[in-house]
Amino acid sequence: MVSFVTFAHRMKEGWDYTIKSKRTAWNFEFKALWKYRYLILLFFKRDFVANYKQTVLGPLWFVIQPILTTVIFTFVFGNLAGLAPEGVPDVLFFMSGIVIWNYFADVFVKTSNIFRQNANIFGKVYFPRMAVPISVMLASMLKFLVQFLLLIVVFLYYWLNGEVDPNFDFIALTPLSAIVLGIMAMGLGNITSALTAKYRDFTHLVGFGVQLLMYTTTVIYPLSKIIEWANASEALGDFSYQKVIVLANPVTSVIESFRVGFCNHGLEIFNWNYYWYSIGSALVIFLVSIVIFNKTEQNFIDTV
Amino acid sequence: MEVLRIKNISKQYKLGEIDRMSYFGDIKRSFKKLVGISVSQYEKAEVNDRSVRGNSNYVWALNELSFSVNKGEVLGIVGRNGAGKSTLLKLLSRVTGPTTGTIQVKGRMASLLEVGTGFHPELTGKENIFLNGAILGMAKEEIESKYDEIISFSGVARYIDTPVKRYSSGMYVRLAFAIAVHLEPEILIIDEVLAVGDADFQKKCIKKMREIAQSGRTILFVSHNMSTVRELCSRAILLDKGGVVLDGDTEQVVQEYLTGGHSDSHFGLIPAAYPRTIVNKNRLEIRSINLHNESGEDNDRFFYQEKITIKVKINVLNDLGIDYICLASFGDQIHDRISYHSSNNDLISETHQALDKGEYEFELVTHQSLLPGSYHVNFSVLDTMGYPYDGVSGYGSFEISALGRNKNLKYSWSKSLGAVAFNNEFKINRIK
Repeated sequence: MVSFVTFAHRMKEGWDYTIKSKRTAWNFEFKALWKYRYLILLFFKRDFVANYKQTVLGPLWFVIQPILTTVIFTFVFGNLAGLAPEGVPDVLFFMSGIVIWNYFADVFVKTSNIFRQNANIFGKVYFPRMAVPISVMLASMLKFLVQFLLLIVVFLYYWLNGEVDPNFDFIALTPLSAIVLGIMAMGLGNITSALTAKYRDFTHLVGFGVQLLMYTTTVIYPLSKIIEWANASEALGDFSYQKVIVLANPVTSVIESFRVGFCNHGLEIFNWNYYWYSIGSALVIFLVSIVIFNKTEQNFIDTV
Repeated sequence: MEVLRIKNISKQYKLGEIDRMSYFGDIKRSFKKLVGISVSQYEKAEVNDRSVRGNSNYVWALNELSFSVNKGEVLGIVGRNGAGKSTLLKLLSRVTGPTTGTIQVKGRMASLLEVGTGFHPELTGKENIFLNGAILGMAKEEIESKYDEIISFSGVARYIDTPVKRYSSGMYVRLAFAIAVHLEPEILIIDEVLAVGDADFQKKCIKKMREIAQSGRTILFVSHNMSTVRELCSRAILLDKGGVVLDGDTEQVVQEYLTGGHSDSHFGLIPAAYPRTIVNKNRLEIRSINLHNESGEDNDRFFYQEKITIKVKINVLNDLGIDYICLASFGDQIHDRISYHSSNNDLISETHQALDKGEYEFELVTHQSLLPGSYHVNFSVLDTMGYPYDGVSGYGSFEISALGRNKNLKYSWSKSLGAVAFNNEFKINRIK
C-alpha cells in the first residue's frame, strides 16, 4: 500500500530532473556518469587515438618517449652525477622511476586545464563534466600500461642475465599503485582546473611546477641517498628538511615500492606507513576535488 | 500534462573584468561569511538595461521569471536583444545554473543550437557521429539505429571515413545538423536566431525547424521573426528586462511585441567601433541612422506598407561638391540587400546639392512594401566612381508587422511568401 502511494505520488510529480540554484557540496553524479558511460568510452578513445593520428610510427611513440628519457637520464644522472645506487642496472633504475612518474604527471597536467580547454563544449551542452577528467585518466592509464610493458621487457632482459633479483610481492602491487596515483593526479588536476577557471594564475604554475615536483620524489635518485644525507646532517645536529619534503610527497612511496619490486633496491628502508599515507592522501585529495569540482562546474561558464 | 515548469528563476551576472580587484572582492566576501558577518545572499543588482550606466556592478539577466509548458505545446519566446532569451536558453540547457529558483523537466531536453559541439577535427565523420551523438545524450544503440539515416540526410556518405578537418565548412555543418535533428528529444529548443551557414543552408535549417515544429513535439521556439512565430506557435511569451511581460495567445503577444512600448532602438548614434567600409578616407562620416514612422516618431517597428523615413546625420569633413551618391538599402537575414534606394533616383528628397564642410541630415522617404519580418539598414555615401566615403551595413534591426496602419490593409498570409510586394495588377482574360 505504501509503495502504491509513493508510486502514485511519483506519477503526479514525476519530474525527471530539477535544476536548482544551490547543490549540495557532495554530489558525485554516479547515476548520471553511468548513464553517460558510452560518452566516457568515446572520450577515452578520442584522447588515446588522437594522440598518434597522422603519425607513421603510431602508438610506438608511447614507448619512444620513455626510452629516450631513460637514455638521457642514465647518462646525466647516472654516468655523470653518479646518482644511481650500486648493484642495480642504471637503465632499469631510471626507467622504473620515469614510467610511473610520467603517468602521474600526464594525468595531472592533462586534467589541470579541463574547464578552460572545454569551455567551448561546456558552454553549449550539458553532460556530467566529470566524464572528461575520468576519460583523460583512463587514456593515460592505457598509455601507462603500454610503457609498463616496455619496462617489463627491459626488466626481463636484466633478470634473464641474472643482473637483478626481483621482489614479486611488490610487483604485484602495481595495479593498486596505478589506481592510487591516477586518482591522486586526477584529484590534483581537478582542483587546479577548478581554481584556474576564474583566476588563471595557477596555469602559469602547473607547466614548470610538475617538472620541479619530479625532483622532490625519488625519480632521479634513490631514497637511500636522501636518508644517508639526512643521517649525516642529523649527526652534525642539523635538521634535514630535504628528507621531510621527499617523504611528504605522496608519490615517493609508490615509486619506492616499484623500485623494490623491479630492482630489489630499498627494501630495508621501505616503510609501509608511507604507502598507506599515499593511499590516504589520494583519497583525501580525490574527495576534496569532487567538492571543489562540483562547486565550480555549476557556474564556471559565466566567469571562464 | 506539464513537462516543463520554471519557477521564480533569476540569474545574476557580474559586469566588468575579472582581475586582482574582483579577487579581493571575492576574498572579502568569503572572509565575512567565514567569521559569521551576515552578507546578503546576493549582491545588490539592477535591472539589465545596457544603455544606461548603473550604480551596481551586478545585473539581473533574468528576474523572478516563471512559466510552464504542457506536452505538445509549441511555445514562442520573443523579446528584444537583452530581454533574457539567451540566458534562459543557457539555464534550460543546463550549461550554467540559476542564481535562484528551480526548473523542473520531464523527459530529455535538447536544443538545436548545439550544432557541431564537440566535433574533433582528427576523428573521421563516422567517429564524430558517435561522439557528437553521445555528447548530446544519445545511447549507443540509439545512434546505431539512426546511423544510416543521419548519413543520408547529411549527404556526405563519400567522406564518412575521412577526418572532419578535411571537410569543407558546408559539409561540416551538414553532418552536424544531421545529427542534431535526429536526436528526437521530448522537449526541443529551437533558436532561429542562431541558424548558421550560408543562405541556402539557413533556408534549409529554417525549413527543417518548421517541419519539426509541426510534428506535434513539445517545442520552445526562440525567434525574432514574428511571421514564423505566428505561423508555428500555439502560445507565446514576451520577455523584457529578464521577466515575462505577457504570456498567452500568440497573436496577442506578437501584437504587443510589434506595437507595445517605445523601444530602446538599436538605431541612433553609430558606435565608434562599428565596422565601416571606407575607401576615400577623411572626407565624410556617417554619424547616426534613425527610422521614423508616418507620425514622425523615432521607431523600429512599422506597419505593413507604412511610409518609412530614413534620417541620416552626416558630418562632411572636406568639401565634396556634387561628387557623391547616397545609397540606402534594406536587407534581412538571408539577403543583405533586398531593396535599393539611391539619391540619383531622386529618392533623397532634395535635389542634388553641393556638400561643403559641415553637418547635414539626409532624409530618405520610402514607400516601402516589405513583407512582414525583420530587416536591417545599409547606408553608404560614394563618390561618382563608386568608391565609398563611408558605409555602414547591417545596421540596426526593424520589424514590419503584418498589420497595416489602415485597418483595411493587412498582409493576409500567415507566412511570408517572399520579401517584397510590388504594385501589381491582376486580370483574367478568357481566350477560348
